[in-house]
Amino acid sequence: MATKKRAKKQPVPKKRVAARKVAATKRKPAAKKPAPSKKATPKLKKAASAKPAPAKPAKPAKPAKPAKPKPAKQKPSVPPPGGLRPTAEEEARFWSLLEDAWATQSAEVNAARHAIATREPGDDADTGDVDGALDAVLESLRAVFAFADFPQDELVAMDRVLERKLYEIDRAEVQAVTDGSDDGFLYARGYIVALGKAFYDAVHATPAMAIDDAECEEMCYLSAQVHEQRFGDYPETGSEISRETCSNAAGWSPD
Amino acid sequence: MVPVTLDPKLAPLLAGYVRNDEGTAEVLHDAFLERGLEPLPITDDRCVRLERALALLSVTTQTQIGCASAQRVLGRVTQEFPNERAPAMALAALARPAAAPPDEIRHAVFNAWRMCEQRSSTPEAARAVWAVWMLLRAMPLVALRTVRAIDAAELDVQIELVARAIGG
Repeated sequence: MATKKRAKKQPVPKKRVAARKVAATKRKPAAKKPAPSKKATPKLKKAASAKPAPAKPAKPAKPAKPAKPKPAKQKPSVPPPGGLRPTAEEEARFWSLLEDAWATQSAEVNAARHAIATREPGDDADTGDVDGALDAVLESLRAVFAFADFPQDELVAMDRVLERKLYEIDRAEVQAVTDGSDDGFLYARGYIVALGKAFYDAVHATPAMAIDDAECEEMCYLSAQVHEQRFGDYPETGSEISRETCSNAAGWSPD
Repeated sequence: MVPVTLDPKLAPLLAGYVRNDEGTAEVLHDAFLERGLEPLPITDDRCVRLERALALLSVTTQTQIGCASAQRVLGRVTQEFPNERAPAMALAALARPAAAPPDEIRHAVFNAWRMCEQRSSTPEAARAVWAVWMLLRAMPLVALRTVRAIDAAELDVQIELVARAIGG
């Protein structure tokens, strides 16, 4: 716990401010995200790229203004959506792309990332080195997505994988560790994805592997934003799911 | 070299289709239909013909064609990164399909591409390294497109590579 506290109190490099934020109190304007800016409520927003998910439960009640509000648990009322799913090859390409981006960083940074993914569940995570490199990693990813020869269909496929990965860990057990309200928990899931497959799989299997209050907003919409910049619109992934918090009804089932 | 699912008798026709030999598209179209296969489009677009025929080949063959094509343009732009050996090493590794190149090579090629981009090298240099990286990512079709973006005349070379791989 002490290490976790220390990690929180570490001075945040300027570059990292955009990647890791302190809960939802520092939300960026909605216009910076692909999510429609016409939101009438600060609660759940529509997905960046997909149609409204049919499985999306009713909007969770948001507490008046507690320090760290948690999304209310929802009972699933409809079966899981049946839209397009990423192929195994697409998922493999997504993770390998992320690994290539991390490989631009030092061996020390990658060792720290490995240590985070392989520590004992519930142990403190020293995220200093990794957080300091995160912006550069995301910049590499952005450069790939924005490169003229990166095909549009592949960019959509990568967004479909990202969306699915965020959706799959939209779970109460994970949120119980990361904390964060609607946006905060989405950004926490972005952080889990951004650290790569090893950490993602570890958290998916053992939510206690997640890290309290570690967030990466930019990861959540990176491919969608680049798609919008290159092609004028957000990608249509056909997944029928949303990356927004509480979209995965099964993840918030009391059972 | 013809994919196992394709009747070897169709190989000369398919090679003719890629080379845009007159009348082959129509005959091949009917031959595919007779065999219950999805017919290839009847089009004068040489890139479309190339890519559709390429997709019928095994990934290994596609990658080898991509390597041969990327090698040609990489050789022209090596002066842009005289100390960077990763792309050439990657092509050498890909030429041995028995063993997939290690991740370290893919990481190194990606690093080389990032450096080309950040150093504002000529677009051709960045693209040539990108093509190699795409081959390492098992995306030979994209690699071939990139090579053609570097030099449109490479289309003729790629068509010949594919036609020969088909066996025509």
